[in-house]
Amino acid sequence: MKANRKTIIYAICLIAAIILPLVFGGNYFISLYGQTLINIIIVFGLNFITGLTRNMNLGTAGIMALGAYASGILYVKFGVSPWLGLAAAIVVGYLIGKGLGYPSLRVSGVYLSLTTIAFGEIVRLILNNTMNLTGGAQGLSNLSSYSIFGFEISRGLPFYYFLLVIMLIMLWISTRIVRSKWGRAFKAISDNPDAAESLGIDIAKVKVLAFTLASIYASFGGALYAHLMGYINPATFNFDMSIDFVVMLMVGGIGVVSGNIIGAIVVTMLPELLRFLGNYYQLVFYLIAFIGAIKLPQGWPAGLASLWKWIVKKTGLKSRKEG
Amino acid sequence: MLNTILQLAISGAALGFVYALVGIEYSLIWNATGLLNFSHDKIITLGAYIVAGIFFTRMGLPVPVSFVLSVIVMVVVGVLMAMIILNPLRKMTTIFTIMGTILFGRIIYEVIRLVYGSRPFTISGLMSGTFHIGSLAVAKTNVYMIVIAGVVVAALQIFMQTTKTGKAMRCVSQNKKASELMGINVKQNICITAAISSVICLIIGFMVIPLYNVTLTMASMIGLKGFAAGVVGGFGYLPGCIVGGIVVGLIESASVLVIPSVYKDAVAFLVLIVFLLIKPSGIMGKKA
Amino acid sequence: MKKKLLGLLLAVSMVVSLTACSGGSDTASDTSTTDTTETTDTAESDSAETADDAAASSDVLKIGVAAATTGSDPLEGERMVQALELAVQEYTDNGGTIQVELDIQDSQGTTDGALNAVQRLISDGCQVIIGPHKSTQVLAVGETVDAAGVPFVSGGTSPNLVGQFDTLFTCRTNDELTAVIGAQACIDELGAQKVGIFYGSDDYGSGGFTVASQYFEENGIEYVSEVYNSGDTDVSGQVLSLMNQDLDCILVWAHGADMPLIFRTMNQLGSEVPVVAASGIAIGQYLDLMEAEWVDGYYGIGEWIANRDSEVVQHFGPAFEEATGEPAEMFSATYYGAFLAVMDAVEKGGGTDSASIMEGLKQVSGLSVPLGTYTCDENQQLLHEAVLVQMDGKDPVEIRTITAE
Repeated sequence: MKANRKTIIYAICLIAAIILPLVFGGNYFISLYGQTLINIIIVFGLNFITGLTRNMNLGTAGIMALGAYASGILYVKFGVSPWLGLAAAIVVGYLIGKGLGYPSLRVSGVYLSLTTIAFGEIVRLILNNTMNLTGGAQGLSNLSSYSIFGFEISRGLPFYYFLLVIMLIMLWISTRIVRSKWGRAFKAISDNPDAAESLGIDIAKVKVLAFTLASIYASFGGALYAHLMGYINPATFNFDMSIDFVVMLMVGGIGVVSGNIIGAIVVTMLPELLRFLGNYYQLVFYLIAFIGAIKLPQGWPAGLASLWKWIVKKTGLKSRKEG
Repeated sequence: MLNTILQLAISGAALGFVYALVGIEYSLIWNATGLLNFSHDKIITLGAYIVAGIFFTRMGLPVPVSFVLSVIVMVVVGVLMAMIILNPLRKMTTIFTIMGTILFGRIIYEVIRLVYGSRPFTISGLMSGTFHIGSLAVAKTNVYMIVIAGVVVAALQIFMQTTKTGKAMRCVSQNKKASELMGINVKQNICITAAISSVICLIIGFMVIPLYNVTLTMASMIGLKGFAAGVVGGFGYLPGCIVGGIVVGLIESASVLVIPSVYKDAVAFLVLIVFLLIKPSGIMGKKA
Repeated sequence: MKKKLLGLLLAVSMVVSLTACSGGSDTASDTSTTDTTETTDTAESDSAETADDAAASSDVLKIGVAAATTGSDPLEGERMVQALELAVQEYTDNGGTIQVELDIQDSQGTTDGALNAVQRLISDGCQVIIGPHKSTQVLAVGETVDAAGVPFVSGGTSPNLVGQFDTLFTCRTNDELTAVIGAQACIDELGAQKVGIFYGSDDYGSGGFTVASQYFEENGIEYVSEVYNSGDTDVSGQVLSLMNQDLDCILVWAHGADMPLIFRTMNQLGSEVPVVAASGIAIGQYLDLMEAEWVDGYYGIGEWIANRDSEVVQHFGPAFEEATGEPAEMFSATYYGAFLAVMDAVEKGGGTDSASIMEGLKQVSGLSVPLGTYTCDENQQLLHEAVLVQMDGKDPVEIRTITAE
């Protein structure tokens, strides 16, 4: 019974995602949807490390930047196809994951958050000041889109569907990982490290794996971002962006893959939605996010669910009394 | 050459004291609540805006009066922060505490921008001028920063060691449960700690007005580097923050002799990472 | 289960309201008085209207504004909006026949935000766009605007922008020229044989460095360089290094916002080396943060000179101050001029649709604006002049105007 319901809902979501840009179209929205899809992919990755294993990562923007620049530099300097750029980004992500993963074993909690912040800032500073390689502050321009069999995927509607397909693939991969023994291991070491160890789980290995996965996703998303925008520069990948990704994770509900999607959609689109508030829209967004952080730690969907239950209870009670 | 080194040492030390104070103000809150206050740089900015913006510019009061009134305001700010943010958040997991304080900081940023606008301003002539010692020119600002920071630290130490409230704060930082059992009102303590921390933020903000002027982003860099000071010196250990701050300040300043000066900012972060990996308890650190 | 359903509902309702809210033309304009002194509200000439996506009728001109009113540099956006609101008000008051509307969108000072703002403006049906200001943001949005065929006018000055986009028109003198003027001044005014270039690591600074260093090389002048990052807490290291190298002059290519730190440091460390500075030195709000003795005698590039003997300059300065309570400065002067260029283009091009405006902009010639005179060249750059000034205390004194041949 429940399984059928779930499938129907997923089917509806899928259809909605497909027809969305056709119904609510125009360059502005399609560009926004594209950015949202990339954010979703990155949050899938962040979910492994900050969601399941509960290790704070505030350097996501730095990892994303490295993926973006890997693909961008290969294209601009060496004429390498963006597809290979994607592959390069995956390799870069893997290396960063291993590179950051091992040190992260020694630090945890707030210390880890500080380390990742420092990492992000150092990446940004280096990218900004190695002009010959990265174009420095002027960035890399004229990054082309992807081509399939000689046909370039033009930015706009085609690129949206391209990203949608990729996002669905990553979604499938993420869900499989979360449901696999690895996913359970991730949760185990955050819930109860001692018990996990006694069951033979190598905590170090699992932690590093989580970090590596997160880095690969972030780096991959960065490469896609570079070719979606056609132009990247270091100032974009700053601490604020790293924070945004964690907010997305929080809003959606930590650990739940479907929550990642919702969180990314809300955080990417809500500020745009609030533009009509004029000068106050950022403030309102942060207030909403802040109240959400304090009052709805399970994520907004869960929070709304509780609210719904409460309403049902109140009205249910009423009718029962009268009945 | 010697002149250069001395100059760098002085400016490095002066900034180091600023970093040290930043380390102290967030260590106070960390010790009392277990929370790292990521909004502290916005509180510093808020302090500067209050003293320079409201009292000095808008109301035209002389600097000392403005400062005293600002202290009162910041105490209120601290208490509010404790009640709205710190107390509710400290029962939650790390992720929420971090995000909660970050978002709080962003809210403050937006409020300041909406109230004051984006135009930078300053208190002209504040702590300006140079002392000349032989061929060495020492900015008066640097001297003031060192002196004021020293006074604050000394006062804080005396407070913590001798007064009842201070001792209570030390108890709470070591063991909250035990403190509660001994009859210490932890919640009240947190409010007092936050108030003291906020006043220190005001002092920091005031001190850096001649350096960075009153702008929205005046404290973001020193906020981040202040974390390095605390870690290097010994996380949560107040005298350690002084040592840590000076070390970071000096290393940063001296680094321009060795590496391209563009990477100077990265140095503080690098030092932070190195210490976190190798000696997280810091130079003077005790295991918490 | 319920969680997912509600989450889905949340996301869907947001997307729907996003479209609903912005289906109508969103003229969210910046009306909050955010200055420390009293301001008078400039009456806005925007009104909520139903969107008209097709090229608008020749009666209504919708000018899109991509302004950075939030983010790390909100002053830029604030002044841009104030200047444009004043300009539109004056146009209407003076009996302008066309109904002009401003559609103001916040670019948040980031490349992503700029792209979203510009996309929004395009889909709102704006026939012409003013902004974004920063060159890096122009680079990020250029392709999109080109594809939409909407002309846009920006104050970005990076050499990277020259001839880059079909629809881009720049309304401030490009750094290719101003950096050369700065370099020239080192040689002509100060007779320098060895120059230190002190520049910021960002796009603006490094662009200026590239141009200036090239000029020095072509003229056989020896040069060294030091770099700083915008937002650096301390530049003593760099300044000390420059002081120790026996230089005849220092060319400072920095944002006005960074200059108080740089010049205070130079003063404190006792630097006696003469300085030629980029245009930030003459911008009022940054001079307010400096002491007279820090900059006295320094040379600089001036863009907005308040006491210039030109009708539009003499009008704009006091008018802006009266309308906003803030003194006129470079950002406001730039975009007031941009508006004048757009209106001139509408006249010359014979219509308010994008194509006509584009043609009209190409024909702008001899148009008097607060920053000087606009004449469109083949690279679609409007301004080709800058003023060499020397600081008398905190007053920039005009020495001469230099125009590109």
